[in-house]
Amino acid sequence: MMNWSRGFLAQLGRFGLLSKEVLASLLHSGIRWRAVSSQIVAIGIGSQLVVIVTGAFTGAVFAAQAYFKFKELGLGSATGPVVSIAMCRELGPVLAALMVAGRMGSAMAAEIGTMRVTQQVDALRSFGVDPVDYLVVPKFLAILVSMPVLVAEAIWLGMIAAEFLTVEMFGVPRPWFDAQLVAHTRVDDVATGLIKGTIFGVIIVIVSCARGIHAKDGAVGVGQATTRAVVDSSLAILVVNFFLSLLLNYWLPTSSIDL
Amino acid sequence: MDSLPDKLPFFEVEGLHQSLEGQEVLRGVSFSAAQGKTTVILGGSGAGKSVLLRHLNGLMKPIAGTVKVMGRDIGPLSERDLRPIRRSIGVLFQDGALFDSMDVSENIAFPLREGGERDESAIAARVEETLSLVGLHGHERKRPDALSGGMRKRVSLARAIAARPDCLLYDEPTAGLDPLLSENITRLIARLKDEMRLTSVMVTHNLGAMRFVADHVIFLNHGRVLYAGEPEGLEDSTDEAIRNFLDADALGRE
Ligand SMILES: Nc1ncnc2c1ncn2[C@@H]1O[C@H](COP(=O)(O)OP(=O)(O)OP(=O)(O)O)[C@@H](O)[C@H]1O
Ligand SMILES: [Mg+2]
Repeated sequence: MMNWSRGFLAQLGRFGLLSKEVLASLLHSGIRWRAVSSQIVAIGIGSQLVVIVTGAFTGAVFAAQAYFKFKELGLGSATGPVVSIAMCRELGPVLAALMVAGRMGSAMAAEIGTMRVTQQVDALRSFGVDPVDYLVVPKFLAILVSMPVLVAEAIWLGMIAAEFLTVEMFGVPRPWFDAQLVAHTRVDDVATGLIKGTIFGVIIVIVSCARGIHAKDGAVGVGQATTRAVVDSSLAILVVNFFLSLLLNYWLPTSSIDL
Repeated sequence: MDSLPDKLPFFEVEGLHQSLEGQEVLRGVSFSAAQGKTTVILGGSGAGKSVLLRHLNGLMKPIAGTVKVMGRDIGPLSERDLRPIRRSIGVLFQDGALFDSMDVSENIAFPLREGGERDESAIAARVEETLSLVGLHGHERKRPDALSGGMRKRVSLARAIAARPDCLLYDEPTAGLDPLLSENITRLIARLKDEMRLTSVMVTHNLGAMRFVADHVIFLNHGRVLYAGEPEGLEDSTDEAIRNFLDADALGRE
């Protein structure tokens, strides 16, 4: 237990230190825009398919379950608002972030870990290049740009799928669905999702890059760093999401549903 | 030429200690490397040669002792303050450490770009010229993982010298090369020293190469310096570890 908590604190310390280095680098070093744009391609464009599929099927399944229950209560048209709030505030940002953590967190840890154990990181330093400037900051900036877009897409696709299912399959009139959805979805709900998504993106980059930087020597070390990057960032996303929900529900409360 | 006592040594290492994972790797290493000269570090596998080399440009910090570069103690310097010093020192890593996300020419252009060169045609010309120097003309577009071990080493050498540093650190530049290539690289290193007045520190197992390029030799054994001086003096040493090393080499070449 002692060892475990010491290890945990050491790990938090590494994440904190890397965050500090990223901030220092943003303040003091030039930004490598070419690297940023290629990272946007890798993170933002490369994650399109997973995020779209995740958003659409989550929205659809959530709409189906909600509809079955609400219909018994005669509230079939409440499906839209419920799916929308859930997608905006929780499912959209959390699931998109978990998918990106799986896809990009592992890739980041593997890239940096491999570079570390093959001394490419030392080679960078030998040429007077700061590994944080060169490897971490472009990923950080790219994910700041990419995550809000990915989350928005997940939410949007979720709603489209929910609408399709509720209107085309369950026969709720479209104008009715749309009116309810629009009436009960507020800018605050969408903002909550985008803010959460951005924060989750930062978590993914910091956790995964720190895991890569501290990878132990050898292929096994890199493999472990990769796994830990995904596990740690996924757990951190879920835990942080809970506290963010409390905080954001206070700041940006959702509308009351009065049907 | 050796009688210039007032000339500052490029590197001055004093009482250097390092421990890694509880193991004492360097136990009080002291030596200096003169400007414009080639200092060769010899020693068996695991003697601490690579670790010692990593202290010379501040990749590792000593746990005790000092490393001075051109008279300046680099121990207290931050990564940021080390940058200009590091840019003046080219490094050839033992395993090459090529950037595997870049092709050969991008690898060689890297130190030029980081050194602030913006003129693409100047970069291309320098890449060409440096590649020919190591006999790899025509391999510009290859990725590091499509190169043989010896080719990787030569690309790494090209990358180390591309930005024309004042000093070069070589970690076993000839290991893993066939005898002919090994000789070519050794000659190239000697030529670089003569033509560019480069200071170099070279770690090697290759006594032939050592005899060809060394102005000064250091023999490292279990983290201690057993010999420091002229290359000729090494052959007369009576130290057992040194004798074993030299005799084993003689046997290997019979
Ligand atoms: N990163 C590290 N972590 C722990 N121990 C290390 C590390 N690097 C080197 N060592 C240890 O330090 C000692 C010296 O290693 P070093 O790489 O300097 O040897 P070397 O003289 O260069 O040998 P070789 O000729 O085989 O390259 C070895 O015992 C090695 O196990
Ligand atoms: Mg070595």
